Amino acid sequence: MRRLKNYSKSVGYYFTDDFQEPTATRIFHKVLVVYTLLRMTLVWPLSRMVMSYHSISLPKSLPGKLLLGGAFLANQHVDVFFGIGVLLLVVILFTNVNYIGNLVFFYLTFNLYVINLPIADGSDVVLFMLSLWCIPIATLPVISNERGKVIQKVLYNLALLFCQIQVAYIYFISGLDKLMSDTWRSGVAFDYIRHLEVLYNPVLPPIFASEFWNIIFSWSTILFELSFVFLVWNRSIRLPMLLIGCIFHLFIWIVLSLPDFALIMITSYLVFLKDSDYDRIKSWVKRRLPSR
Amino acid sequence: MGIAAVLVVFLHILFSIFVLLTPGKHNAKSLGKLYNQLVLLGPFFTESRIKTSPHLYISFKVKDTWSPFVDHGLANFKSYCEHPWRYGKLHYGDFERYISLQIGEQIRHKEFKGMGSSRAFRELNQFIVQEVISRQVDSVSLVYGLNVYLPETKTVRFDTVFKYTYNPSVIAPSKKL
Repeated sequence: MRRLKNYSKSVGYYFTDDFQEPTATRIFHKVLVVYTLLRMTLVWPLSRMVMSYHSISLPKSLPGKLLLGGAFLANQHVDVFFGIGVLLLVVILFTNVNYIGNLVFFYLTFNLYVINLPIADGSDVVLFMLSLWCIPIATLPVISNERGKVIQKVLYNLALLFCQIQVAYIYFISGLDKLMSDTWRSGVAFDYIRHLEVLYNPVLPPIFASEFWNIIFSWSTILFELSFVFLVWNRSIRLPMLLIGCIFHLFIWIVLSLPDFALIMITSYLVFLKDSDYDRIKSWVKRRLPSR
Repeated sequence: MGIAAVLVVFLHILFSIFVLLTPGKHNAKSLGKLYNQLVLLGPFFTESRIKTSPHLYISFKVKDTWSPFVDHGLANFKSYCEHPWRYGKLHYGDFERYISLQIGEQIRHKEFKGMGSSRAFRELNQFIVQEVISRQVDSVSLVYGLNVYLPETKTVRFDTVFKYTYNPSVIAPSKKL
């Protein structure tokens, strides 16, 4: 019991000691904002078209109205919502990460998801969940009293870990579902995918025509998705795992025409990077730059 | 404080596993349901998602001549695949498929009260007339269904969900432009 208590205490220091990976976390946060800015700009004309014909059913309760105020606005004036949204994102991007900015960021992504429900895919829900966990990931305003400082650090580190767990869950659930499915285990899933006219890229040559390769593709997907949740925490396998993940999502982007999902998942990988990774990149670049 | 944080993480993981192991056993407004929908995201490529693909075929009549049935959503998707920088084309068909799915669900649950009374149908009609056809037409014919691939025979079967031929001018617009 005492050993468990001591172990918990030492693990607990992870949360109370300091803000974990501040540089890497700040980069993750900023890239997530850039992704949202890109997404918002790209879907703006589409949303304008959708909102010309479609009305969003919104809640009648006051908390519901407050939470979905952006969607209420978009129901009547879609351009005003997107205009304000883009402007706010630019402000969030160029200011230091703070709680108010994070709250506004979550508010925007959540309303964007509701507005774009008719044209949304998995990427929108991943985005607003990451932005939800990101709310406590802020070091500003600086809290002066000691107890407040500790609470700020704990919330920051917890939120960072919850972001990582959220991403790991996505793979684990997908992998588990595929493992349970005979269609995936037998490789027939890729034969089905090849015939999905509204998803499968017709420009590509028929890559899922071979039964043998379909089984290989199927089991590679299952193994990658199931192992990600365990291996991404391992110091020596973390980076290769993320690299494989990037290739996996780029493949899905091209073959299944899912650019949004690929981009949000690759962006989410930044939450697994450490400050030391960026230091290594920096020194690698410095070594290759001609010395003056 | 550190131990409390460890406990929160532990409970978060434990509760996620519990929800994962007890699917469909959580009330609509329970924490379990919330976890199921928001924390445990996915799976995104379920069997049902890859086994069928939705299609909406549209034909219209001008001066006693019917145009051929065309799946405009699919045509836009193909256009995106050939020109991947045309991002708008990728999601163009999503809206009509989303509304068609809603109409299909209303029919399935016997909630569809006729073309003029259904908000979803009015939205679909207005979208098709103004966005897809973009001209004065006498009649419109819609066929919405699912393409089901049969790997045993390597054939594709089309299952019709709804089929309507109507005069679009008698359907009230869903939103005033």
